[in-house]
Amino acid sequence: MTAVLPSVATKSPGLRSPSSTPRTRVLGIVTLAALVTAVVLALFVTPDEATQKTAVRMLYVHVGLISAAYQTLIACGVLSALVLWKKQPGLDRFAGAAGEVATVLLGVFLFTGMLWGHLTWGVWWSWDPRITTTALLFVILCGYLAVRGLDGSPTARMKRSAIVALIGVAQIPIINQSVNWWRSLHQDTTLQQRDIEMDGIMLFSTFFAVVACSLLAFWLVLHRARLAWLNDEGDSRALEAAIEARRGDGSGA
Amino acid sequence: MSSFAQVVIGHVVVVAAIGGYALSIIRRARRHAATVRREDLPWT
Repeated sequence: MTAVLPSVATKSPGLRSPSSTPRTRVLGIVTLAALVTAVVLALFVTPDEATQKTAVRMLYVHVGLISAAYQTLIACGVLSALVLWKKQPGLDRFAGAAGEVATVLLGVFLFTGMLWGHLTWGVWWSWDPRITTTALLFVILCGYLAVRGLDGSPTARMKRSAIVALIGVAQIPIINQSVNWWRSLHQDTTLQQRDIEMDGIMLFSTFFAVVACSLLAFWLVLHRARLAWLNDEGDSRALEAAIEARRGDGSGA
Repeated sequence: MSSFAQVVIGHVVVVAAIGGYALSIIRRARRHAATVRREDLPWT
């Protein structure tokens, strides 16, 4: 008689990309189209600005990136607070994914700011309060990723990384108010003013870039969290297989 | 190099950095394709 055992490690037909679903594929296509449109608007549709000239074209993606980075960082902070309260690994996975995506977006945001500074101010970097506090946030987020990679029990790792994430989130209001608290080269608040002094297509392109980058951040966090689940699942299966193999060795000896 | 060319290069760098990160997530997820079944995934 032939025994038919269910195979745990069988590849399902059509399972090419385990982290995606039909809905996330649609989201990915919409996001890609929105990003392409945002870049076309920034480079070819919007006009030059009177004083910044063509350098203003960097600002659309610049504003979109910082908006998305703040959104993911705030999500990371809220999830980290929930992790400290509920201690659930699923929340920790999403917090870690949001923190990693926030780090990438903030790093790219700093690059776009540096390029804009080079074209407008003539320098790649200035120890201006807003730029310095933003760079400090980037360092804190790199520290967050490093803490997540430290050895230790999963509970201790969750707690440590959640506390670092909350320190990072506390930096956001300091960055936001830095142009008001200290003398700064960086321009003052523009989009939060009641009467925004921007050309119609410039304002539309800015908000379009914010929406496109927000969609991108959502897609990235979703897939990164699913990858974390796949990694955890793979690790637990490998552990189970190793225990089974050890038991087999013990019974055979 | 003109300012516009630098702005275009800046956008290319941004797309390459974020696109590369997105592709790395997809590629790392695909490595698990042989070891997981669709019905085991909580999001399907």
